Formats: sequence, C-alpha cells, structure tokens
Amino acid sequence: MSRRIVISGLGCISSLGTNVAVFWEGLANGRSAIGALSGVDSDIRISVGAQVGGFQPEAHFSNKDLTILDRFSQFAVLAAKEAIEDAGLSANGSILATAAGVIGSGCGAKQTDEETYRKLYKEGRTRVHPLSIPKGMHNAAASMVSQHIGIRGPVFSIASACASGAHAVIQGAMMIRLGLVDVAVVGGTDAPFTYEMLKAWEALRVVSNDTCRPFSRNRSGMVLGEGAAMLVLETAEHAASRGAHCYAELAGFGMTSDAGHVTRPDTDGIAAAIRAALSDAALDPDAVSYINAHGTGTEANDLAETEAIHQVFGKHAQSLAVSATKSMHGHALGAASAMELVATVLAVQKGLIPPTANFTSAGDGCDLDYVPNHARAETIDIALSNSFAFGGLNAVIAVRSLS
Amino acid sequence: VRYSLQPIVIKEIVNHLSCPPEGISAEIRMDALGIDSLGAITILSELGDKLDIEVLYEIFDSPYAIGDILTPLDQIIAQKNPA
Repeated sequence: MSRRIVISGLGCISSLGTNVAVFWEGLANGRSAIGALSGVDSDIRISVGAQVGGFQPEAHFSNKDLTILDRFSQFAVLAAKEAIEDAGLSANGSILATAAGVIGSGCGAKQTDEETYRKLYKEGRTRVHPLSIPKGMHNAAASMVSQHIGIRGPVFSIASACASGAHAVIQGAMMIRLGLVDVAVVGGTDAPFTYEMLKAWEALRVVSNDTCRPFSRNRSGMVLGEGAAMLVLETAEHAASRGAHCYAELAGFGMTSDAGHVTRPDTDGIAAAIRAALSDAALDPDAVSYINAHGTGTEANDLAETEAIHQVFGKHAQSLAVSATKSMHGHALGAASAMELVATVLAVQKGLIPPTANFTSAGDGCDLDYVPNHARAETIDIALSNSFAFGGLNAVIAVRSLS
Repeated sequence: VRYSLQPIVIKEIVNHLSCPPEGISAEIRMDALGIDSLGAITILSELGDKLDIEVLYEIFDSPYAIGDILTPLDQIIAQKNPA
C-alpha cells in the first residue's frame, strides 16, 4: 500500500531573498527580482538576470569550507539547513542519519569549472586547484548537503536540466513510497552566472534583455536566475509520530519524455506528464484549481504549455488559475522547479495564488487565467507544479491541502 | 630562505583553518593541526597562487612540519626569479 507523503520543511535562497519568508513575501506581492546583471564581463550581451543580491558566502561558511564549496553547493547547503530547521530536525540528528538526500542541478559547479579553465587556457598555468574535482563534480552539492547536515542514507544528484529539482523531489518521494527511507531532503540548486554559461545562453537566443513576461503578447524570452530550494519529505505517519508541522501532502507525480526535439517543448509530452501526475494521485482533472506553470516566457513554452493544459483539462481549463513565478525569481534552471514547488506548497497552505508578474496582455494562443500581476486569495485543495526541461524531460508534481 | 615566507605560510594556514594565529609556529606538524593530505595540498595550491609559483606537490611528503615547507618553496621561487 502506498505511503502518504507530507512536506514538513521548506528552504529557499533566491533572487527574492535568502530564506523562505522573504521568498514568499516577494511572490505574494508580485515583486520581480529581475534586474541589471552585476559582476559579469562587459562583452556579454545578456543584460538582466535574477541574481542572489548581496550574498556573502563568508557570512555563512568558514574559509576552509569555502575551499570545497562551489556557489551551487553553498546555495544547496543553506537551503537544506533552513528546510531541516523548519521541519524541526536538527543537523546530525538520528532521523537524518537514515534519511535520503536527492539534489537536482542542471549545470552543476560552473563557477569551479570556469576558474579551472581560466587558469589553464587564459592564464596559461599548468596546474589547477587540487580540489577542482571534488568541488566541481555534479554531486558536489548533494555531498556537501550530506556532510553539513548529517544525512547518512542514500544521497545522490539528479541532472535533467530545468526539471532537475522536480525529478529530485520525485526520486526522494519514490524512496519513501518504497519504504527505503522515512525522510528525504530533496530539491534543486544552480548558479549559472559565469562567463561561459552566459555566452552559451546568449548564443541560444532565448534570453530576454527586458524582463520575463510569461504568456504576455510582448514577451521577449526567459531570464536566468540562481539559488536553491529544498523540501523535507516524510511519511505522514512519521511526521505525526514526532508532532511535526506539515505544509501539505505530496499527492502524486508524473514524468514523461518527448523523445523529440531537444529544445522545443512537445504539447503531447507535457499533457502526458500532467495526466500521469493526476493518475498517480488518483485525481480527476476537475479537482485541480491551481497550476504553477513552467512558464518560462518563451513563445515555444507558453504556447505548448497552454495547449497541453487545454488538452488535459478541457472546459475546466478556463476555471484554473495558472501562474508563472519565474517572472519573479527568474529561471534558476535546476533549482527553478524546486522553487516553484515551494511556491506551490505555500500557495496551497496559505490559500494565496502568487501572480504572473510583468504581465501586460495575453499573447496569441494564451487564453487561460494567468493571475496577472496581483496575488489572489483562493482556497486551493489541489495544485500542480509543472516543470519541463531541455531534452524533452517533463515532471509534474501534485500537491494536496491538509486542511 | 631569502624571502620572509614563514609569516605568509602561517597566515595561509590560519586562514585555511579559520583559527587564531597564536601557537602556530614553524615547528608544528601539519597533521597535529588536523591538516590531512588534501588540506595540505590545498594550502600549498593557494600559497602557489599568492606567490605566483607552480608548487610541486610531490616534494612535500606528509607528515611534515610547517617549517619544512619553507625551503622547498624558497627554492621554487629562486628558480623562477634567479638572483
């Protein structure tokens, strides 16, 4: 029999702020944290981003720690610490000793890679930093979370581009369902503001130099973000046994792949992922009242996602609230889907739907209720969080209210 | 040792360990400070960056005292900048 999974802890560091409270305050007020890029080379054409402003690693970590912590690992550790504290779990406690940790990242330790390549190819050095491998490996963030908070059960990283965080959440949930663990710390992290990454995104010609306006007629593309979001999952029984405060139930999930174009989202693949999540959670489509959209602000995504929602929900699509919080925290790649799940969980718990910020007027083919610019108070029983990745990898998570 | 390397090396160790400098002297062994082989090559790498030299990790067989680092470092600097 399937074990019910609840969400008992949240952590988030994003362009909106360095904890969940300020993240939610920003979303609830429709505050976009997108602004002029700072600290990047002048020949980069991308001019806006959603950076974690004023972040001082030295305020959180010792010099020794920082020699091994890439920026993406720093974000992951801080968000994980916040999540376990929020869940009422203490670092290195007995519960975490048997917990799982699954951390998604789209691009991994780019800061470390860039420092290494800079030494070799730009400065002409013949040796690089001795910690380049352990600091720069894709699982570095997962390993550092394990080290810093004392998770001793199964720990690994997940890479599925912009759906990495969602896939990590799902992997943790699957381990709980299978009875492998009772508790899992899951989420995503990314820190993509390096010269190489910005040049690569610039070349792809999907990044806006204005702002992120999902579903709007005058949208001009996505805006990169950074940060991390983590959630503590546990069985309802385990949470009850320790008297834990819980936000919501993780009711189900669906995963599909398009097996098609590498960057163009596929309506059928997206629709299949939504249907799979509904089926897994044993939900009728009409039970859903809110969808936190993938909503990147690219024409390809906005149209495919809107059409997929029509496919799955039929007439009920017109009754759904659909918002894209990337308009506020940017597209933090592997962290984005975890941030959006945190937003979805809080929307369900608080009965407040965060808006699609920067919305002007609906683009052609975008005919849903996108909750433009202002949050909306509404009781939500069931919500979905959509995440779709380059490479055609789709993940949808269903969240149910506990009230 | 032609350069005043000792305070630079000790400062790097203090920085790495995030500890007060009192009590750290050339005679203390790296392992006594809790610095393992990975920590040692990290410190040496960062010293290499600061001194603008390529440190050959192989010449430092652990365990060794802080003072043992000074002469090999000085030799590397001398080779790079002959008098």
